[in-house]
Amino acid sequence: MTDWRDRVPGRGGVALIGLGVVLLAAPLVANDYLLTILILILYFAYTGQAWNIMSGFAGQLSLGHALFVGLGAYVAAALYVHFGVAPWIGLVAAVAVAAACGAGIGFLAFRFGVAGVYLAILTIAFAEFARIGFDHFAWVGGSAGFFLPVATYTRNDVWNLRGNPTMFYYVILALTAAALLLSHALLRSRLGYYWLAIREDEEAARALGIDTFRCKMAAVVISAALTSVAGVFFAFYYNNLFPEQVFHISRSIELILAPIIGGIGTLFGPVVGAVLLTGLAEGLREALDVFGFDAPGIKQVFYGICLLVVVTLLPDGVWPPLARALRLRPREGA
Amino acid sequence: MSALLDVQRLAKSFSGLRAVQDVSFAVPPGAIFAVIGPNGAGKTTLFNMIAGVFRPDDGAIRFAGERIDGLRPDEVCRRGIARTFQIVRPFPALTVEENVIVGMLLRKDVATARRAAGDLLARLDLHDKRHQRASTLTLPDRKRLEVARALATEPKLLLLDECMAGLRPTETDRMVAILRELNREAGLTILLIEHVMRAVMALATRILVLHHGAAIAEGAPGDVVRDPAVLASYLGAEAV
Repeated sequence: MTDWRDRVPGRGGVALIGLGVVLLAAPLVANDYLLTILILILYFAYTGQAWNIMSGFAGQLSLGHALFVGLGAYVAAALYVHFGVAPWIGLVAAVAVAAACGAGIGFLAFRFGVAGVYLAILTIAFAEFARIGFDHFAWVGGSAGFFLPVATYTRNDVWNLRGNPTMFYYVILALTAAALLLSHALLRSRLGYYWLAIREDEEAARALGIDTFRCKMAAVVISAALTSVAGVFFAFYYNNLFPEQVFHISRSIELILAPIIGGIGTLFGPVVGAVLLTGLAEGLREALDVFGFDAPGIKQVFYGICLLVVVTLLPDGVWPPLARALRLRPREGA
Repeated sequence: MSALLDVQRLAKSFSGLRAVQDVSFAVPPGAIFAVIGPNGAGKTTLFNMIAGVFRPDDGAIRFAGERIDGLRPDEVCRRGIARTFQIVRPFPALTVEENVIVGMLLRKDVATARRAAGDLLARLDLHDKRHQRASTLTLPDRKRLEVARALATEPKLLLLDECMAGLRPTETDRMVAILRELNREAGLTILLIEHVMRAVMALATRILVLHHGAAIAEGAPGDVVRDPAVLASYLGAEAV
């Protein structure tokens, strides 16, 4: 069973430092293809972590987080393309827009006691509004897509996020590490304890003097803000944005698979889940390629199987039992 | 001495059904005040109005001189009233210690709360189980955790909703001893709803009897249990 506050003692700390060193050194040995996979893994670890704050810690289920990715992506991209605003400045605007949007959805939901499945539907609805709205938003290309200028860059320009995969790799690695540290700190804060209490039993939480409305608002705003940062990365990494792709519900689902597989509400669940899902799915595709199979959609089938296995055999996700097996955390009751 | 909790002409109906009507009573500081009565008498409704879950239709609730009726449960708790639930509601995936820490955070910072949690758990015989998940506890332990978590908010008034129900006589006696100790040493005022007369008689300094939403008797324990109306409506029925 999960110890929700994954304490990382000496052994785990050493493992974490080792992992950090390996990840920092990865571009020295990895080719561009492998680096692309690592970027994908880190991207899902990051977005999973951001989603986990709202849905894993505070227990407020969102199935529309693509909304915040998309808003972040479009705001920063539009500012860059139309006004030449650097992405790190655009990021501030992107975060503000996403946070405001999260606050709006949160207010509507929590003020009127919308929770559980109904909250999930509300989040889907807002992502769909955005998808349809951006389809007709000519200033950012509408359904024809919005493109960032692409050129071959001889040197990396971190300020404008223009460069080769190695630069993007380090950017997303830094973001993922920061998200992990932030989640770690949040879980140990008063707000973190309150989130877990609300997730477990909201009425009991209220009876202990917790202003549940404010805590839930904080969860959705922080989660939305963090998620939008991934959107900015997404826009500058892929250089193209289509409402049908960015805001699509399949994006929202894709983004929550890592924490579900890894362990909802745990600190390392999203990371482990992202490694397993993306790593294994890409590995599988490669293996099939080697044997001459061309199987489109195999990734989705693989995701489905992973989800089935985890939900039936490991309801707490892969990370809690894995951490116990590796003795990275004290055993329960010990 | 002025009352810590003063309830005046309280009334609450649910779609025409009068759950509580015209109930008044006062709990002095340091008292252990019991509310008894048959099932459906309106005891839990009364409790929920004091705790802020329901807004009364009529009447007033004053706590330490301040009107608290209509406040939200978290606001009521902040003012110094903590409650337990009749059907226990621990945070199942959190450890026993974390359950208590959540309560303590109302008045303490995280580091202080983590240090202080052990002492409180020791008072309620839960110290050995502090690292267990609350979902693994037995019912008596859950009941004690419910009390511990409420106490963690450092209340002036503790509302206990049938915290003895389902306990064996020895466990009841232990709970009675714990509550008495808290009352005597910390001066904690307690308002309890209880069916277990063994506990009520051992604890209460004063008893209010509810029947069909109305107060039919109030007084010292010895007098109330001999009251003909009380015998007819509640205790007599149980004795048969």
